[in-house]
Amino acid sequence: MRYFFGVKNSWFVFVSFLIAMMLEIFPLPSLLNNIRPECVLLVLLYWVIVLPAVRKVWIAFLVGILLDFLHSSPLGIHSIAVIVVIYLMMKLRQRMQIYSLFHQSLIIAALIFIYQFIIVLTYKIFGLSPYYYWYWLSILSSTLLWPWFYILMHDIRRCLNMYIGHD
Amino acid sequence: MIIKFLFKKDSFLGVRTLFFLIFSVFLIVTDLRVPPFHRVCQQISVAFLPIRYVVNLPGYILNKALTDMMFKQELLQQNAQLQASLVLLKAQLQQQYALESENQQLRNLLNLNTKNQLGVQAAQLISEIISPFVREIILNKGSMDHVFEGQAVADEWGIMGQVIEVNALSSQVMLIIDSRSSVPVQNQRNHSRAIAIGDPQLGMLRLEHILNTEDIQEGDIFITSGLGGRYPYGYPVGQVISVIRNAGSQFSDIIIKPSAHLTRSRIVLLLQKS
Repeated sequence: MRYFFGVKNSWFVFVSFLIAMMLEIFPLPSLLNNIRPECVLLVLLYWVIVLPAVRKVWIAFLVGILLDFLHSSPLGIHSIAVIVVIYLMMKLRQRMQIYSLFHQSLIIAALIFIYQFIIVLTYKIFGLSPYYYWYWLSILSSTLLWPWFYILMHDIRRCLNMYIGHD
Repeated sequence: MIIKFLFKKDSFLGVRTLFFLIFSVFLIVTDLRVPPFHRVCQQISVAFLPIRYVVNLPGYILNKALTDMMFKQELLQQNAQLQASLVLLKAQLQQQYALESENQQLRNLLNLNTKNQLGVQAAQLISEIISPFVREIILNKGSMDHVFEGQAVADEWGIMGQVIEVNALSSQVMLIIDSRSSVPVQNQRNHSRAIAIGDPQLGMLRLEHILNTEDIQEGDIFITSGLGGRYPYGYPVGQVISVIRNAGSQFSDIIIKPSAHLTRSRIVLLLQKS
């Protein structure tokens, strides 16, 4: 039987993206806003590690466009950053699956740093906005969030029986 | 042919990545330089309105619960107070009419152009966009309610910003404290003009290129000067809270606190041109 992403209950992939999008633009006081983790990117990174069907560049591109609509930035800024980070994750994917959670967090920290860096670089190249030091704080919160998030998603997948190759 | 070649095999990850990267850069340039494309994107963003409504719901419910729940006695009291202030405001408005017609007569005598009469339209805040680089709010009136790009937005205390994107059902307003925003202002005391640029980190405005020799003091109120055509003349923008004259540079560092309650107002006014 052929399922949508190659697994049962693949609606959960879309639901997880929806929840991540809501968390991304949830209104927070402007001070707390700086430590908001990059929710949509983390969710996409998780699915790229776990599901082979999601490892497509056009999916990364579409998620980038989605982020651009959410943050109302010119179309393509988040796309560039997401494509680069997902490309790196696709290369590291097999190793991520066997690393310990701590080791994974370090790699995620590096990837989120690259993501932030590309976004602020692109904004600067197109002359769009200033830059300030608290911007990098979301690397910390995303990295701290990752182990808990990874285990949570694994547990939900076990409940929903979303495994490759099981029918 | 090329698409089939690029996308049929699995081993072209690098090529596909490069293709999409170039396409993304192309999209950025198109979005920034080609206005019709940008307008199409604005219309597409209507699809994301439900998410914005849902995400703002907890704040909205909390706000409503805190402000709308009161005892009947308090409600009657508040009603009486509002009636009283309404009568006072109407009386003041009558005085305004007399002043306006006198002003109009004087302008006619001097052969000046007639002042534009402005109407207002009320709109409600749907949600805010607070990103590192952006301070905007989204209102529930769109092009179907004749909101246009560049329209000035104010609340009852002062100017809040201008509309930068409009789709059919909602519009996006850039607040004056956004870093891209600059408001032409005028000192109410001595009519000297300046431009106030937003500083999103402080939540205040800065005056640019003011020489140390200019006459600006703390407590000065700045109003819109009407130059540039975006913001109409005479609306309060803010009050100076700090004037720092550096010995080492020619220019002073002036910070203005906006009069509008940028973070608290839920109902805003869209200022309409005649």
